[in-house]
Amino acid sequence: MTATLEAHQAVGRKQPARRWSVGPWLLLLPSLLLIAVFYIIPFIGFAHWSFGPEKSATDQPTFFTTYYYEQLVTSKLYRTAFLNTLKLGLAVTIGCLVLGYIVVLFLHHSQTRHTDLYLAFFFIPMQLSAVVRAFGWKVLLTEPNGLVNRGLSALGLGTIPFVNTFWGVAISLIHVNLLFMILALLVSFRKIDRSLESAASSLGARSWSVFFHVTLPLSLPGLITGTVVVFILSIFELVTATIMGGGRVPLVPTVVFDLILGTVNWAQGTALALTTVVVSLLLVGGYYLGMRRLLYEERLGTRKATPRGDA
Amino acid sequence: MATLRFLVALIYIFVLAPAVVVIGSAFTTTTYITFPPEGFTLDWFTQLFQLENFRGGFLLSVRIAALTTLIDLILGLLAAYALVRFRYRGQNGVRMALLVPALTPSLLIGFALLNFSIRSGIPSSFALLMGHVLITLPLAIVIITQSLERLDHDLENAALSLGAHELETFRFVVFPAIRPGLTAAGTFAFLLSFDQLPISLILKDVAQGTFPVELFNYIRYEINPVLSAVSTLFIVINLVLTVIGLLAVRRAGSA
Repeated sequence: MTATLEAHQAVGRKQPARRWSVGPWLLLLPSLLLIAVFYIIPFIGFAHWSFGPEKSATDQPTFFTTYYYEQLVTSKLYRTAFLNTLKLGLAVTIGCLVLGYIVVLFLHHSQTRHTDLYLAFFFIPMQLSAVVRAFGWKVLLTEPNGLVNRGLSALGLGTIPFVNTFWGVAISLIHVNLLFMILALLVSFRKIDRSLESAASSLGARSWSVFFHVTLPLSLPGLITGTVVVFILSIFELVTATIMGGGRVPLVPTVVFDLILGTVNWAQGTALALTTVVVSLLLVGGYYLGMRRLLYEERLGTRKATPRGDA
Repeated sequence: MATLRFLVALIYIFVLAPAVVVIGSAFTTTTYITFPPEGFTLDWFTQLFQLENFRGGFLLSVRIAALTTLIDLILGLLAAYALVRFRYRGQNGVRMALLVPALTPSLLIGFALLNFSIRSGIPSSFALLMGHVLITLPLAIVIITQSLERLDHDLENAALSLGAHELETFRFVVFPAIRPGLTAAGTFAFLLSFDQLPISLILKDVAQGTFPVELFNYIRYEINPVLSAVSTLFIVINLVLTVIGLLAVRRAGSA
């Protein structure tokens, strides 16, 4: 059944339905081989090492141990790094959401024809490459001579040590990831029918009420995508964490880096990295499913409400 | 709306500030970084060209990026052809699988490759190159796939039925049509590879790191106007490559 359907689609696109040919697989072979040899096999080895008892990568592990996973729970450094990283992901996500929402709401209401021009500026942080971006923030936030701290003290607010702190890392990550949040939100906002909002206001809803009951629910799909993407992108960023954290903020990427390249403790480094991957995927997955459910119920709610409104 | 406009203006300052400060401070006459710059000098730019490790890093980065681009274009063209011109079981699975490396944190790819290179004896420089190919290939495949999809398949069939060999058809029909797409794919692959840091840092050669790695090793510990000049040069390189890439994308779209 599906086979004939696919064949029909293929004919429709004027493409040959050569279903059993080896041709495509021969063409795909180099790329698939690359992924198999330099992606899948290395990651199996990487995961394997987290159970190995030896510290050095050149020694063969002799038996299976969960010692390094137990260490993650008992050691204060690993616990702190892990919690800090989740906190960082959360802070960056919320920061990007607030700033991104303001920008997208502005574009939505301004009804400008030059949306692309407004958006172009948000691609600039992407253009800077991670090192240069972190360098720029280090220059801006240095205490006491950075532009930000000079401004703060001119306003009589004193200076704030941003460099080598959690918030220094968070600010520079918000800066670069803002673009992804804006792009995700825009996808939803472009689908919003403006007449719904004007209908709500003409029926007497206040502007904040229109926002919370019409605009915000309709933008939820983009909000969900944006928050997931930004969270994942923030928690494994090594360059920003190293330059802005200056080794004083324990975060998973920097701790893993030090464990493997500093003390050559492969097993502990891989255990920490893999645990963080698995836990963050579970958290993000749970959040995503929860939000989709909320969205679904929201839609059911509006569907129920409509006939009553009509009557 | 007025409040919104004001907040957006602040966000624009936030977005642009780092670039402005980096570029501005590269021209200061003081030996320490200050913004706005005091006076105007190009000394820091002439100094940076005398720094051995930046010159070496630049050449190494260009070499790696050029090799990465070449491999990406060959593998990407073959894979894109298989994705566009054929229908077969598992096609969507393959399409997804090819994108996965670009979605993996490059920190993890770097360590997995380092581990692999130590255990298998493969030179770390080769593992580094393969790491660059892994994370840049998905974008190349996406761009080439799009330009192949725009090409009318009947043109190829016409050429073949008029007696052209398959290679001739590719050379005279397919290749000219997708050339802007290939240029775009190649430029962005080069750009991504040139910018790549975590993999290059983890698989760094003892003596010489890539351009971003050398810059990273300085910026970790200090800030000074020479580093501003290096960063400004980096911004200019990125900007030029992006413009070339975007122009190619536009040509591919209008073709």
